[in-house]
Parts: sequence; C-alpha cells; structure tokens
Amino acid sequence: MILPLSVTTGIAVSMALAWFMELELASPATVLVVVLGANAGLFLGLRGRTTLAPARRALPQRRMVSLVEQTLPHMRLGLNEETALRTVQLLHDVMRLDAVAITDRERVLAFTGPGSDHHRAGDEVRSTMTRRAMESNKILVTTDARHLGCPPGSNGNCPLAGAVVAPLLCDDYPVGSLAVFQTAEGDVESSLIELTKGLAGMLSLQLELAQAHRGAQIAETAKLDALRAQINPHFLFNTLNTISMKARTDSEEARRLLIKLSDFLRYAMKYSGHAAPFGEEYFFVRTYLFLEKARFGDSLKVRYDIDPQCLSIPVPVLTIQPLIENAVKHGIAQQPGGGLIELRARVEPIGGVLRVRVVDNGVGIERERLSSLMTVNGGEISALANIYERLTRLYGGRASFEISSTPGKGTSVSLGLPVGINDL
Amino acid sequence: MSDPRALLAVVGLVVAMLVVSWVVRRSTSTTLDFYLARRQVGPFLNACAICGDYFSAASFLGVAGAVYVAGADGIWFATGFAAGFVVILFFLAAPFRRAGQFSIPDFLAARFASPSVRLTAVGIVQMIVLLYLVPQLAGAGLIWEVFVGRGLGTLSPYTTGIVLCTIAIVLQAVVGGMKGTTWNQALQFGLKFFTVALLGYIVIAAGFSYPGAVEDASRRPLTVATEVKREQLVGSGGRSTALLESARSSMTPEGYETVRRELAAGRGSVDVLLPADNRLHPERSLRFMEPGFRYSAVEQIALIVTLLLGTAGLPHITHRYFTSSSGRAARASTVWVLGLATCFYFLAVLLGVAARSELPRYLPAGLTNSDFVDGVVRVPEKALLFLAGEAGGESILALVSAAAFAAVFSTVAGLLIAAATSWGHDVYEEYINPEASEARRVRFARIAVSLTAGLAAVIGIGISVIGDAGAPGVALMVTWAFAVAGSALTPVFLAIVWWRRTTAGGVLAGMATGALLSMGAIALALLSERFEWAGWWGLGHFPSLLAAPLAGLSVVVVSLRTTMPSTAGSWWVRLHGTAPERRQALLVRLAARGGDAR
Amino acid sequence: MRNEARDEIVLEHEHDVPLPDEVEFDSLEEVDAVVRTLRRSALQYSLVIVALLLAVPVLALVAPWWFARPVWGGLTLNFITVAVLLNVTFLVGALAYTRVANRIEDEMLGRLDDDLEYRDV
Repeated sequence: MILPLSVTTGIAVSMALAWFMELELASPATVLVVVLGANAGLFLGLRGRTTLAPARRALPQRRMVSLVEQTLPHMRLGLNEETALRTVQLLHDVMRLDAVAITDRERVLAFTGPGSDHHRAGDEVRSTMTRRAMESNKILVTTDARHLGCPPGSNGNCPLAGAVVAPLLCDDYPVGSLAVFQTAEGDVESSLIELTKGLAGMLSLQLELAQAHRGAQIAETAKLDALRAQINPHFLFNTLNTISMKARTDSEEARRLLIKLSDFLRYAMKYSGHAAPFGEEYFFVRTYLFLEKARFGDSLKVRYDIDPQCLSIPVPVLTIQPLIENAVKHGIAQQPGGGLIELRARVEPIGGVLRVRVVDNGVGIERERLSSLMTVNGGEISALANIYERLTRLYGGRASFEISSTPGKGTSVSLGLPVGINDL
Repeated sequence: MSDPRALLAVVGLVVAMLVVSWVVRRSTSTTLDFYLARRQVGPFLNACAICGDYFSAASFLGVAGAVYVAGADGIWFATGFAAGFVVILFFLAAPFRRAGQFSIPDFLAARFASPSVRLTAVGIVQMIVLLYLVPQLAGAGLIWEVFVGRGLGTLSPYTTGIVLCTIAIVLQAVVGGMKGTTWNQALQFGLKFFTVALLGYIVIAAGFSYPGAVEDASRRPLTVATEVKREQLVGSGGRSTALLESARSSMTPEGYETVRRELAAGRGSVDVLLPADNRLHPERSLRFMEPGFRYSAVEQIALIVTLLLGTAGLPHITHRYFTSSSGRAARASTVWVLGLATCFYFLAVLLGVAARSELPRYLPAGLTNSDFVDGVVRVPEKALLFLAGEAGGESILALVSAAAFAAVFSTVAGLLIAAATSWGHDVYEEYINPEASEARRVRFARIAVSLTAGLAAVIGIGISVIGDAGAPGVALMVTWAFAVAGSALTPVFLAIVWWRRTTAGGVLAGMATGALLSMGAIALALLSERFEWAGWWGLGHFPSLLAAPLAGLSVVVVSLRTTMPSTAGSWWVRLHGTAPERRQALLVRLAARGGDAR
Repeated sequence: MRNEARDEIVLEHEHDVPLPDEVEFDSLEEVDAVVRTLRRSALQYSLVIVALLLAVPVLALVAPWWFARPVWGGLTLNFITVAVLLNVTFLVGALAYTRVANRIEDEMLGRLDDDLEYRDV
C-alpha cells in the first residue's frame, strides 16, 4: 500500500517542481526530473515500510486490553479448531499482523494470512522449529523459509519470510503454540518478538482460566443435576395423569396443560448459568402452580404479590419453585380442605435486600422437624437444605433463609437475597 | 373585521372536511366500521385525532383568553387539561381498549348486565356531551361575530355562526362516520398546531420576548374591564370619588378622557378599567404574573382536581381509546398526546401573554369601542383573534379564524359521535330493536346525530338570549363538563378497573352521587353570581374535589353490601390480560415462519 | 433419499405447531398478580405527580419568593412551573410509567420467548 503511494507522491512533487521551474512538458529535462522523483518516492517508500512497521506493531495499552476482552470468550472454551480460528482472526485484525497460526501439540488448528493455501488447519505440524519451541518451552525466531512449515515442494512460492513461535502453556505444560509470521524480508524486529511473547502469555493465561472454570462447572452441574432429578419425577407422573383425565372431559384445558407442562420442563432443563432474573423464576412458579391447580382444583388457592422492581433482579436458578413445591406437598396436600399459597416479593430499600416469602396456611411443621430440616436427611426435605447450601455458597453468607411454622396454622419460608451482587 | 377572505377560508375548510369524509365513505357501511374506524388506527394518528377532539375552542381561544384576562391563574386551564391524560395513562388507557366495547355505557354494561346501569350511564353521557357542546357552539358564534360580522337574514351574527357550524358538522359526521372523523380530526389538529406555531413565530419575530412581555404586563396592577353604573361614579360621597380615582389611575389618559366624556353626556353606565382583586393575597395588588385573579387557594386546588379527573370521563376521549389497535398502542397514544399537548399549550399560553403585552402597541391609545375598553379586550376569548389580525394582517386573521373553527368542528364532531353511539347502540340496538339490520342501525345513528346537534344548537342560541352579562368564559363552561365527568364517571371507572369487588349497585350509587353532587354544585355556583347565599360551600365552579371522593366512597360502601357478580373472573382476565395481543404477535411470527419454511 | 426424509420432517412440523389460542392464554391468578403489581406501580407514580401538582398552589399561597419574585424578566418560578415545567414533568412521568407497565406485563404474563418448533437445543 505504501509503495504506490510514495511513488505517486514522488511523481506529483517532481511535476510540480518542473512546472515551477517553467520547464516544458515534453522536454528531456522534465522527463529526467519526473524519473528522479519516482525513484525518490520508491526509495522513501521502501525505507518507510520498515520504519513504520515497528510503530504499527507497538503495543498501545488500549488495544491490548481490548484484545484480551475479545479473545477471552473464545479461549475460555478451550483450545480447539474453532476457538483457535476465531482467535487468530482477532489477532490478525487487531494487531495487524501479516499472518498468524495456532497449533496444538500435533496439528495446526488455525492459520490466517497470506500462504493460507498451503498452511492449512488440520495439517500436521511440519515445522521443526515449532516442535522444538513446544518441547523446550522457548521462544524461537527464524528468517529461514525452510523452517516455516511449508509442505515439501512449495518452498519457493510461500509469501512468508520470517516467523516467531512461542509455546502456549497450561499449568506450565505446553499444549500448543502461537506463530506470528512476517512477509517482509530481513530481520525480524524485536518488537514483533516481544509482541508474540506477550500474546502467547495472554492466551496461555486464558487457557488456564478455562481449565479452572471447567472444573468448577463440573462440580456445579453435578449438584444441579441432582437437584433437578429431585424435582421432576413424581410431579411429572401426577401431572400427566391429570392431563389424561382432563382429555376426556375438557380437551381444550388438556391441551393448555400440555403446553404449560412443556414450558415447565423446558425451563427446568435449561441450564444457562447460576442465576436468572426473578421474573423468570416467577414464570417457572406460575407455570408449576397452574399445573398443580389442575390437579387439586379449588382446594389449592394461589396468590401472588410482587413488587415491580423485583422482576429484573438476578436470583439463583431453581430456588423459588422448590419452596412452592414444598408448600404444596407438605402444607396443602395434607390438609383436607385445601388451602392458600402466597408468593410475596419485595425489595427492601434499607439494606438493599430482595425478600421472597412463600406463605401457606396448610398443616404446618412440628418444631422437632424444623430443626432437622436443615440437615441432609434423605427424602424431599433435603431440597430445602440444598437451597440453603447454595445460597450460602453463592452469596458468601450474606443471604438469609428463615422458616417459621405453627402446626395447624401454616408455614412461612422467607429468603433474603442481597441485591447488586454482580457475579453469582 | 368582516373580511371576505375569512369567509373564504372557512368555506374552504368545510369543503375540505366534506371531501375527506366522502373519500372514506365506502368503509362506513357496517356499524362496527362506523363506530370504530375498523380499529386500524395507529398510535400516533390516534393521538393526533385525540388532540383534534380535545383541543376545542376552549383550548384554542379559551386558554389564551384566560391567560389574557387573569395572568398566572389562567395558565392552570392549560396545565389541567393536559394533566388529565396522565390519569388516563396510569389507570385506564390499556384496560379500556382491552375491554373491547363501543361506548361508555357499553363498557359498564359488559361488566354488569344491568339495564339500569346502562341507561344511567347513557343519561350521564348525554349530559356531559351537552355541557361540553354548548360552549363550543358559543365559541363558534363568537368567532363568526368577529370574522364575518354579518348574519343570515334576520339572524344575528352569533346565531348564524352557530347554525351554519352545526349544519356543516352534521353533514360531515353523517357522511363519513367515525373514520372520516378520525382523519379529519387529525388534519384539523395539524391545522390548529400549525396556526399557533405560526402566530407564535410572527409574534416573536415582531419583537416579543416571553420574560420581557410578562415583565411589561406586570408593571402596573392588573386591570379588568367592568361596566359601572353612573351613580357609583358620580355623586357625593367618598366611595364614588375613590372609585373614580381608581379608574383614573388604572386607565390611560385618553381612555379616561372617554369615560369623562360619556359621563358628561349623561350615559347611564360606563365601561372602565379597574384593578382586579387579589383573591389569594388580598393585601397585595394583583399583577399579571401573580396568581389570585379569580381563585382562592381552595378554588385553585379544586380546579386542578376537577380538570385532572374530568378528562378520563369525557365520552369523546374514551371513545378514542376503544379505537386503539391494542392496549400497548393505547398507552403509546397517550404519551404522544402529552407530548403534543405540552407543545400546543405552551404556545397557547405564550399567545395569551403576547396578547396582553403586545396588543396595545398596535391600537390607538385609549381605544374604546364595542370590542375594547381602553385598549383591553372586552371578551377575552377574542383576544387571540385580535392579536392575529393586528400582528399578522388579514391573511393571518383568516388562517386563525379557520383554525378556530377547526377547533370547534373537531370537538363537536367527536362529541356528536359519542352521543350518537350512545343513542344508536345503547338505546336502539339494545332496547328498541335488537333485530335491526346493519343499515337500519346506521341510519338510526345518523338521525340521532342530527337531532343531538340540533338540540345543542338550540341551547347555544338560547344562551345568548338568556343573557351575556357576566357570561362565564368558554373555558369555564367546559370545566362544568369536566366536573360532571370527573365526579360521576371517573371514580366509577377506577373502581371497576382496579377493584374486582365492585358491583352493579355500587356503580349506580357512584354515578348518581357524582352526577347529582356536581350538577347541584354548578347550579349553586351559577346562582351565587346573583345570590350571595348560594356560594356558601366555597368550591365555586369546581365541585370535583368533594363530589368525586364522595362518589368513590359510595361505590365502595354499596359494593361491599351487595354481592359480587359471578362473571368477575373472566372480565378481569379480559381487561388486564394480554393474551389477545400475544396471540396476534404469535400469528404474525407463524405467518413469517411459514413463508420461510416454504 | 435424504431429501425425501427432510420433506417429511417439514410436514410433520406443520402438523405439530399448536394454535395460538392453545399456546397463549392467561389464568386468573396471573392476571390478578399483574393487576396487583400494576396498581401498586400506578399509585406510586400518581402519588408523586399529584404531590407535585398540589405543591404548586400551596406554594403560591405561602411563599412570596415562589409567586411574586421574578427570576427571569417578569417570569416568576410559579409562572414558569405552571406554564412549562409541570407539563414536561407529566411527559417524563408518562414515558417512565409506560416503560414500567409494558415491562411488567411482558414479564408477568405469557411464556418465555421460545421456539415453537421443539428442536433439540
């Protein structure tokens, strides 16, 4: 890009000069001046490329930070062809590198830039230099085209002229490499080496983070799976029963129940992190209660009292509905005349707490049982204990969980969730 | 100012209205179309139509006139008119649309299948319509007086204005039905808005500065044109001398000269300018920029409350909410209305101020004639018109006259449709002939419109016959309609929409209480102009402060003592649920998806 | 052939998509909840508006700096408020409330926005 520009400028300047000196257009003097101008432009352009290049490659703080932000979501998912491709593209665009490649221990995962016709993802790592970099955990530089990893027989056609290779480490163990190429002949600038070192370090760090995150996720998933397994079976059977009975007498209602059931299951299966807005948990509760109401009929009365500010506050997933289910199963279902379940949600301005209360006027819980509720005892009561444990872990003890009950009159479970915790 | 150009402008406006009505004629053959413009009206268009309905002669001439004569106090009409829409938005906009009815009595009857509820509602609606119509037609008469100044045959200009206006409106409503009216309303609103904006621009270009003008107008105490009997001015006694002196210090030398000449010539009564009383702070002299011209503190608050509650009960406004395409659109429309109203009323108030401060500059000093007393306009509603004529010239005067008529036409049309719907649907379809064909019902509706208009015209003319000494301003007369609407209907609406326990008995009690209290109070207020004793309860012309809460209370008390109807649940879901809107959206998505799948 | 199989699948889906009436409906309890929430919200907003609205005449009664002292040319605070500021306040309140009300309805009624074709996510 810079060369044509410089040559054109050279010609333009020399023509201006000629006009200024009042030379005739077609005279030999003019031709000479123009040719000199073009040469000067060419010369300056060639020089400029090398002087400008390091400036381009200097690392402004801002770009580095933005680069971290942009590559993190990809590298977080681990080192594979897809994430590598996105990453090399990002590096290529943001840092304006000539060509970039990422490999794992055996294969090239991604390559972008000139030469991509014969440097392809999926190829074996041919470059001995790359292998050595990974094995010896060192950063290696070359300007020898033979070490660039081109397939045999295509050496002469590769536009790449030099490279820097740095290993990617996870827990100090090399899992791959980052190669940054240049198309310019001549020495590799030290700034490019520094850059590659920095980028490799950044990517390595991200890979390590991904590793740690996955570990935690696996643990959490296991717990949530256990919880979900607790939620569904009996409820599912009962609801399907209700629906099949209704199908005979009121088919429209039966169809509606089926839609609601599918909504319910879909929400329960959806695993998208630890927290959901309270509005979505409320959706889950009302879907659930709609289904239960079909089964219990008029003996189950339901009332919701929700402050508008509560709806967008993030709460841990699947924490509210189990409380409601508890109230239905142990409070109302046991009582001959049925009863009322109420869900109340308020934001307490003092202290910034979202207070969620599940109140029922069912049979209540005896005092002796109350104290044992919090321990993991087996049976469905441990659903409450599970919620308590998750709250403790997620909020670091800042959340509150209270149960109070009078046998024969009813039960009230109250959660106090602090608002404004960013990373649940 | 009887300018043939003004005449031409007005004729042109009427013709345009009729043409538009004719063009949309085809789609008015079914009752639903006729009444509800096929529910296709978008939020912004609906908002323009609402503004067209709402910005009547009261908003256009009345507000400017109120500001002209009263200063700071007069602005409350403008603010109050806008505030009512906030109430609608918060509590009624979406539910009205979701209820899915034709008219207010329909709405009430859908909830309670009770003939007495429906018929009481019809009665109240007609009352409100009448109370609102009369000042509009009076305004039309006034405008005709100013612009044309000639009457047909033996009729006075005032009467001619009313008659011709009524005929034009009836034609337009009958031919076009609701849809014609919607587009016409929107266009007429556009005309009104453009006019005030243009007039504002002219006035500012001529050197008007808002702060400066208010300062000018406040320099000396605020004066009012009053007719005073000779005996009060001439004769022995300190009182008459004081009065005369007061007049002299309030008027210009030339104006006072005219007074002296008339007294010397033996006139029985003369018009003078006297300083206005400060009802709010009696120890101060009243300035233009200060409140206190008409209202004591309690009356001020009563006025605000009356206007605030009244808008939600106006039949021609609620009708437009039934026309919205969805509950959301109804809310959006209301927000648009508030935006448009803010701009419009800002200009109207500005023009009222401008009239006070700028008009004297154009007039010869001390001008006293049939329209002026020492440079002050006798009938405040005419102030805007005179300002237009003086500051802008004949063509602007023509434009403003057309816009003023547009204000009257549009509101009256809306009112007549509301009235007609009531007669046609609530009375005819329900009780007289349920089996009637579509064409029959439409014809009945058209006859109903004509008759209602005729009645209004008769009353309008009658008002002028009864007496114009101390005739209350147009804005004030409109406030009566607000009072009845806000006391008899709004509390009932609020209860029905937000309290499931409301019963038919409660609604009846509420409507009756509200209507009787408010109308009684207005009657008392009118009488109190003549008889002191009638003004005892101090709320003047704005009874809503008491009547509305009492009506609400009666709704609650009676509802608690009667049984709740069994259809409460399905009504509730219909009023507040969004299922139809979601289904609509779903259908749209399915249709789009189906297109893709193929 | 693969194509045939795909066509069959498309057809099956067309049968399976349920009608909007079955999919979107409101139960009384949900509507009750929305009404309670909306009512509370509306009352809060209107309380503020009415308080502001009534504060003005009260100030006009008791505070000379409010109604008698010009702050810009001849305009007093009272004048400016009644002529412009109150209306602007209404507009702002209206916009805010509309947003709140729409959001409440979106979140408390209906289903979570989901695909109708029950694909394996």
